[in-house]
Amino acid sequence: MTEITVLIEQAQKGDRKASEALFAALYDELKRLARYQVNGSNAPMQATSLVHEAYCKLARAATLTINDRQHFYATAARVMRQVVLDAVRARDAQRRGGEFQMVALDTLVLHGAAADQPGEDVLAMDAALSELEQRDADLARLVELRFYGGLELSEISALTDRSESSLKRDWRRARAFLYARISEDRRENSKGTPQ
Amino acid sequence: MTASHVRWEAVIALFDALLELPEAERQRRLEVMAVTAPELVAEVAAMLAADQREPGILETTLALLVMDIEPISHAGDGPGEPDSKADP
Repeated sequence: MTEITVLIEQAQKGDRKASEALFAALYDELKRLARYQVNGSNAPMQATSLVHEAYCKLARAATLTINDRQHFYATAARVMRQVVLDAVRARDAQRRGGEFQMVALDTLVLHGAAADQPGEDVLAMDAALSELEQRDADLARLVELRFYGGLELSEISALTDRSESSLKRDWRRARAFLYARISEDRRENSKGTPQ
Repeated sequence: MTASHVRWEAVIALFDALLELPEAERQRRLEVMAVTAPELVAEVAAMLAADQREPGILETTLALLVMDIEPISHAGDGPGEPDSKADP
């Protein structure tokens, strides 16, 4: 039994110290999620700020409702998703309120592996994922854990008791659905954009 | 199981079945099926095209993704040092 599982059990029994330790563990996990694979640059600072927001959001939530280890990671990933979404919306609202109008919401600069690609739209990604949730909750959860949660497929496999090959197949389905939706969203947006 | 679930199962089944086929054979089957199930074929064709695309947002990492985002707030009741941790 992992430390987190023990903490969850103790917290559910009313152990206040376990509850605090669980909360601290969740905070550490959020930090890990936001920092993973970062090399140099100022990304860690930004990530830490976002984690802080995630923590504040969690502080207002009922942490004790977390009932197992999978739920713990799913909660952390969901919070990160929401924090990133809120941050993008706030930034875009701020820009729209400035002296120039933003034509599209896809100005996010991507780095690293996707450096040669045009900026992807975090909002379109979130909308597509919400649509996937309606179609297939398991696929959507996998995307949350891997993309927003930063877990490797091997970690998700251990967490969910599913084989990696099965998760790979699901990831390919989810990826295809999401990219298809994002492409469709872009085509729709470009129709309404003056050339 | 609702109608939308049945349809999603059909999308996934067709996507999986066509995924590993050679392009020409894949197109041939899609064209045949498009006669009777154009919407299903359109959705699966879009997913097959998306499967072949270059790496995008899903291939980057959250930390790199958020580099361009200004946090909404900076100060507050974060945990900080263990002794100063906010009381949940």
